[in-house]
Amino acid sequence: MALINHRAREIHFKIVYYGPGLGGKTTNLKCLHERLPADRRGRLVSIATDHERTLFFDFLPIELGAIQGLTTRFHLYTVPGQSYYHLSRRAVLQGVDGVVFVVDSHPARERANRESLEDLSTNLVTQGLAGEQLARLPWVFQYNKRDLADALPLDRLRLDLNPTRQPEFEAVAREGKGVAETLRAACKAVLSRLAEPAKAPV
Amino acid sequence: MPQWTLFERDFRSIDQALYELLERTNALSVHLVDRSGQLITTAGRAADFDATSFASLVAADFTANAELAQLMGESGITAVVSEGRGRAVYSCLLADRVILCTVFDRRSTLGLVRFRAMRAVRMLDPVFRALFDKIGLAEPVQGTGEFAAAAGREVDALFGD
Repeated sequence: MALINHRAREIHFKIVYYGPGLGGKTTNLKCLHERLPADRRGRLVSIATDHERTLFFDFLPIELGAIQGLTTRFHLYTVPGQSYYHLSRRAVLQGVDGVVFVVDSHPARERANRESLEDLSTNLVTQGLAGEQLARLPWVFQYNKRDLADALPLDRLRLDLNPTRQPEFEAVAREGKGVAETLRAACKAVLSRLAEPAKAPV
Repeated sequence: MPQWTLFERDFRSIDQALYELLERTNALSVHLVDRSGQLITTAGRAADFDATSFASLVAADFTANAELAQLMGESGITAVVSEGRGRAVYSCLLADRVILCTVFDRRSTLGLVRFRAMRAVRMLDPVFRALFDKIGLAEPVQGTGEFAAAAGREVDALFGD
C-alpha cells in the first residue's frame, strides 16, 4: 500500500518480484543495482544462503527524485522461490503495490512457473486482497531466459500464465536485457493506480 | 491499491508519544515502521545507519517472528528483541500494522524500554486505527493524476527514454 508522508515529503511504493526458484528475480535486482546511477538507488540488501540462494528476500530502494515536491521511492523486493519458503513469501508480500512475475522459460520449469503463480494468488488472498482489489493490483510478466536454445514458446507461456494479457516482456536478465523495461512498466502501472478512485476494502 | 496518507496534523500526537518514549528511556532513537517495510518517522539520532534498509529489515524480522510464533501455536507476537553487543532494538506492534522500534544501548535497560514502549503503544494505537479507518474511503488526493503523469515521465527518463 502506497504511503504518502507529507511531513517527510515522500511517497513510497512496494513492488515485489515473484516467480519460481532460480528464475532470475535476484538477477533482475542485481542488474538494476549495477546499472542505475548511484544517486538513484540505495544499498542492495540480500538475505541469502551461503550458496547465494535467496533465503528471505532481496531489497533495493530506487529513488525518482522530487516530483511536485514529493520524493518518490520504489522499494523493490524479491521472494525466495523454492516451494518450502511459502511463509517467507507471504511475509514479503505484506503491503505490496505491484507485482513482477518472473517466468523461467526453461522447458523443465513449466510446472514450477504454474505452481508459483498459484502460490502468488493464494498469498495475495491471504493478504486480504480479493475481488476487485486483487483484480486492480498491477501485474507485469517477464519471460526470462529467452536466450535458451530450447526456451518454451512465448505463446505457450502466455496462454498458460498470462491469459488476461497483463503487460509482458521478454528478457535475458543476466545480460540485462528486458530488465529496465519490465520495471518501467511495473512502476508506471503502480503510478496509474494511484490516481484511480479508491474503493472500500471488500 | 488505496494509499495511506499521513498529514502534518497527524504527527502531533505521534511526535508527543515518540519523544516521551525517547526521553523517558534514554534511548538512542525511536522509529515507526509500516509492516510493508516503509519508514514512517523517526525521533532521536539515527544518522549513522541506513534508515531505509533498517525499516525493511525490521518489518521482515517482525513478520518472520510472527510466522514463527504461529508455527508454535501462538496467535501472534507482541514484541521482538534484537540484542547486539553495543545496541539493542525492541520492536512492538500497534494497530496491527505499525511497528514501534526503540534503539537503545547500555544507558537504558530492556525492562524500562519495554514498559515505556507499552505506554507509547497505548497512546499511538488509537491514532493509527483512526488513520487506517479512512483508507479506502477517501477519494484520491487532488492532483494525484498530475503527480502520476509527472512521475511516469521521470520513470521513462530513468530507464532510458
